[in-house]
Amino acid sequence: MKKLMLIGNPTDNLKKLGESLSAGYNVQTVGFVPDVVYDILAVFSPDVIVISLEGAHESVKAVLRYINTRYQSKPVITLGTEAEKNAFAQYYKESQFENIDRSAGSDEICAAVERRLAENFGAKSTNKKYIMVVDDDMSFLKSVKAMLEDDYEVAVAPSGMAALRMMNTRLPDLVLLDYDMPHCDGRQTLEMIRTVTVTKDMPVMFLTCITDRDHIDAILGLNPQGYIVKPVDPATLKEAVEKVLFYL
Amino acid sequence: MAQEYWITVVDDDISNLKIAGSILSGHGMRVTAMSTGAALLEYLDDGNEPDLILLDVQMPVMDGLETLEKLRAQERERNIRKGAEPAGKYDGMPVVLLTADDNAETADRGLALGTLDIIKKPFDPVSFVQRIESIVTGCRHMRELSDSITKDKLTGLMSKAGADRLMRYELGRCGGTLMLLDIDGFRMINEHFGHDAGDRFLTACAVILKQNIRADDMAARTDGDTFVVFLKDVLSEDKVTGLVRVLNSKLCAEAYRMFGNKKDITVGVSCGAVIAEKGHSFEELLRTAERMLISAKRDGKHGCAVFSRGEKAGNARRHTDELARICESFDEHNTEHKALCTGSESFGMIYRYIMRHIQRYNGIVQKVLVTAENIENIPASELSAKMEQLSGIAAGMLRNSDIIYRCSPDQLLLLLPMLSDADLPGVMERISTGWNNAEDPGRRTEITYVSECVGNVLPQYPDIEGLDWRYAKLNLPTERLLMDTLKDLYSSIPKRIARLEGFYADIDSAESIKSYKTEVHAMKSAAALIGLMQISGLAKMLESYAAAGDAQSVRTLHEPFLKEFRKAYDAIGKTFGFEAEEMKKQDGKAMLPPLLGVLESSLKEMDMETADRVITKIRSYSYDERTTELIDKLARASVELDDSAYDIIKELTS
Repeated sequence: MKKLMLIGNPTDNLKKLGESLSAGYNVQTVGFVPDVVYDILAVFSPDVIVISLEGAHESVKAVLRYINTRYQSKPVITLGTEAEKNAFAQYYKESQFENIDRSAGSDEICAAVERRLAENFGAKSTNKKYIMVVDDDMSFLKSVKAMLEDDYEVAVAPSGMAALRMMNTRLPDLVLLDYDMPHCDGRQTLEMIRTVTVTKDMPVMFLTCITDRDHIDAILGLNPQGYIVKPVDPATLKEAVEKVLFYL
Repeated sequence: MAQEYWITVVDDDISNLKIAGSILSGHGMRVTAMSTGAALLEYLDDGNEPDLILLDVQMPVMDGLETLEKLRAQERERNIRKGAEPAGKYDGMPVVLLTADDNAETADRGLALGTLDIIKKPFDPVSFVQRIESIVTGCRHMRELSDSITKDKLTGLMSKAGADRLMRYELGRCGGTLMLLDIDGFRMINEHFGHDAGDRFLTACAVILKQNIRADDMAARTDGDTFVVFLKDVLSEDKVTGLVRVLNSKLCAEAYRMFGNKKDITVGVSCGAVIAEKGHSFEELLRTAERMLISAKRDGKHGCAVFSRGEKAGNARRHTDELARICESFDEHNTEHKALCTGSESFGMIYRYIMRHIQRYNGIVQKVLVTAENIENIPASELSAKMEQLSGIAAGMLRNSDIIYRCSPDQLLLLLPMLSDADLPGVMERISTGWNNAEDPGRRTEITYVSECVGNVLPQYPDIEGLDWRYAKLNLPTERLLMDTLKDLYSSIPKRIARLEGFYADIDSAESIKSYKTEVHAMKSAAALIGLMQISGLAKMLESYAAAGDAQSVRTLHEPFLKEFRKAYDAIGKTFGFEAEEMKKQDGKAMLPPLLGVLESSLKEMDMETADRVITKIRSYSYDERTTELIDKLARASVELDDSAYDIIKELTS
């Protein structure tokens, strides 16, 4: 689900708009409190930003400038009258900002959002393979994601349980699994993957620092598609992933 | 012509000696006179080889015939060395007997001992000289013929026939090792430098061969570039492979000396050897050696294969030798401490290798293109010499890990691995200065350069004890990721230590030791990620103790581990100035609700990354104690995608 950030003074109109957009998007509604907006922008990382200019005051200017300088690639749709728009005319010279009259219905706004998302992500939307990385170390997950995300769609799961839950929504083409995790280790995770019908043939590669014989034997008994020892460099990882995915 | 004749006269009678001496030297011959047989034997044993010996039969103490017998016995040994037929009676020193009596028995004995003639005393000077002349001429002729068969003209070693003779004799008496050596790369020398050079090289080979075997070992050149060596009484393979190694390195050095390093000539020897026992036949041994030589050649150049009837040589040892041998053929000889100048083909290989290497191991390399300017008026030949000079100067200034390639008539391409951007100008400055000093002031040729630094440039991070930046870089390929992770780790260490201490306080309970294990595991991963390898190792041990429920072992290691971890914490904080940021934590009350909203939606979407970002953000503010506790709980629940997370969010929002 695409992420949409809705910024505006908390009026009934905004609330209503948020509710109707929630049907198609993951919506976060934030008031015009600059610090909060900045934080949410950073953590939420929305695909599109919708700003209601209603009752706009000084802080709008700061927010717009912030978005315009820090998040230039994010499409922004403002909802406001011509007069409201003209107060920030300088931003509309560039294609990042687009104003829609506040009187527009939610359908119209949805269409605009879709259009903006399409123009922005159209070029990128390819049939990338979907890889799920499971490791209890979030930093490591980020690192692996950074290595792979140019070529693949990458989801990260911080635990075996989280991974299994995430598989319910979308089946990955490949799972990269750490062996040594608390609570539910890689072996248990793989065993569960192999017992569920839909996932039983899913390719799983171990990506772990475990190198002792007993564990490796146990792992190999579960028939994984590969075994990579940490630390791994980007080239080796890509090569290994490519090889497994090639035969799918 | 007569002048070259060298005659030794042995007679106890001084007046006889004088007569003979005066007649012969009167005809321009060189005469050595001695008065006893013993003196003669000693004289010959010293290596003197006169053309003819005139031996008086009637002498006191040791008469002529007795002297001759002893002489023949002494010769037999020596002649064998020279490759002559050991038993042949005419192969010895030409001797003419002088006698005063007419005893037929004396004549028979003398002739049986290979005497060429018997001259009766007193003699007619004219016919005496003529007889001597004809005898010496005949003998010389004979010797030349014999030598041409047993000796190799070019190298002075034995010929195949000589070797054959000698070996038949030697093998009847002792064992040893027969080596068949073949010069690798000889054809190349012939082709590149002509046959004269090839011949000179073969002579040099013979000299080297002779120098590296013992005096009574045999060396022969049997064919073109093939040599046969017999090491007497040597029955060990090690000696053979050792000798081959020595020969290889010496031949290489010799070739380098003779031909320079211009061509990629890899000379050396391949050897097939067979360990022979007394009584083996030479032909058969030679065939076996030949077979071994072929197998040695098949395994690659400069090899050695030894056939022994006894125990089979261990494979491992054989492979070790092989490794040494293969490397030998690639090793640089006469390594110079300056940069390597290469041709285009080898440069291509080196270039590709270096690029792979730096990509794989996070290295860098400076590619520098040096161009000579103001060269419009310089004729091509002069330019070529200039560039040769420039590359020589550059080679001397650069390290021997650097590579120089003349890529166009007026340009050099330098590959300087592991040289930082900061150091490059200094290096180029040196070359430039060196060039300007060497240049003819009348015709200035300036050099300019452009450079490009390629590879995984590892930013110069400050050294932190126990932190291996290469590991960190491997795990965290981008700088931002690395810094973020460091920051994350830094901010999480105090909490982790506190939690760990909490579990440690109650380490004897099963629940606590389990939690301890989980916590120390997380610390292990975090440390490994940023390259704190020792600390990670300690954590790993602690983890395995805790997993086994071994509280006692955990106790011994817990304190040292935390001490190290705190040390690293302080070092990272100090080095990167994280401390300051940590201090100004703001109150997060106002921020919490919207952040929790994002967390809730991302958990629903199972967007773990966003969830993680939110948690980190939430933790970057300060809260009251109760909220902090709840947030810790929330963090764990969200990692597990546990439904209790939603309840905690609800609790926190209210």
